[in-house]
Amino acid sequence: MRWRNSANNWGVISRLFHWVMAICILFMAGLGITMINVRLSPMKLEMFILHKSLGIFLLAIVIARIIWRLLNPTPKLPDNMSRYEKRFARLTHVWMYLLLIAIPISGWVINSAANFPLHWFGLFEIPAIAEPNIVTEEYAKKTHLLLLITLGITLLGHIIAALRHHFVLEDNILRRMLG
Amino acid sequence: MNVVKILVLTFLFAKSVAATQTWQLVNQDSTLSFIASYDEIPFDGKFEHFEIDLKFDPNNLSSSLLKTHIDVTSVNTNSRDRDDALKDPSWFHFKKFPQATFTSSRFTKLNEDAYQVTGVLTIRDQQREISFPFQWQPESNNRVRVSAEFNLDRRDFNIGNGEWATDATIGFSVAVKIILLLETTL
Repeated sequence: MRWRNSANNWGVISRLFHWVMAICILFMAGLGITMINVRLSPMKLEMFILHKSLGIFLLAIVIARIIWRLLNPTPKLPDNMSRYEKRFARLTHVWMYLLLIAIPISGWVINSAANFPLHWFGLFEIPAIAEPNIVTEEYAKKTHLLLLITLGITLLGHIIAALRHHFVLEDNILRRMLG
Repeated sequence: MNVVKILVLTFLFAKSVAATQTWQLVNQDSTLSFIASYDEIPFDGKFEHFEIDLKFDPNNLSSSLLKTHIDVTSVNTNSRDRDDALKDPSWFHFKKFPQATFTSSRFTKLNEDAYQVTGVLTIRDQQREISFPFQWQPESNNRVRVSAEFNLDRRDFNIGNGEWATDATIGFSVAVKIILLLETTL
């Protein structure tokens, strides 16, 4: 078992980051859509509280993941890909990292502008990053949703591309992330 | 003899009432605020509009009287989502109970500049007798600053009833903070 990445493969830590985030993002999208649509009840508040704590957790994870990626070699892309394909793949990954940072931050802004506390899994309080303000709250809500939709579309492309590599191009792109 | 006694008593009573000063609220320097909790973290709010009718004389507590009218619909916790929810029948129920009142029944002296008031607090459909201490700090001959802090349990007044009668997210205890600047005409 290799912890670090090599020139050809992802290490355990990188794969763990990838799949933990994949599961969390899927769960968060489902939770987020559910919680804004249910009627006001203690359950709704519990859902929001969980969503916020998990969002901050995801923000921390993506920052740790980027640091880990910079400290490790990035496995090479297969030789059958063109220069442009490789460049496009790299840009898409940078774009996904940016979205994964921007989405929790926009959520954090919503919570701050709405003047609600952020008690991280009931352990400690995380400070607000915006003054209470209805206009800021509305903009942050629209941004959060727009970024989520953008992430959804990007992830769809990401999944289709991974499946194409596996089934059509028959390279090791998907297998090396599965482990 | 009886007539004389009644006359003397009437005179004394009239004198004591006359001596009990009527105090007016200086609105911009007076606040009626509270601290509640959400997910175990305190948040504060206030009632923007309230009126008081106070006759108070430290030397004549028995004829002192406080009546307060609080415009419940003026509640402001600086959060639109929260303030919207407070309108609902489960919380303050603005439509049915737009006003809360407090009427004193007696005052007692605790120590220098500190007194206790007992009276009936009515919020929503609930009436409760409560007592709380307050500081009476004269700032000049005709100005006084009154401050008080005490805790209420929101369940006693059906604030957050039904499915909200849980402290899973919104705590039961609410700290009330009162600061009043009062003036009297000499």
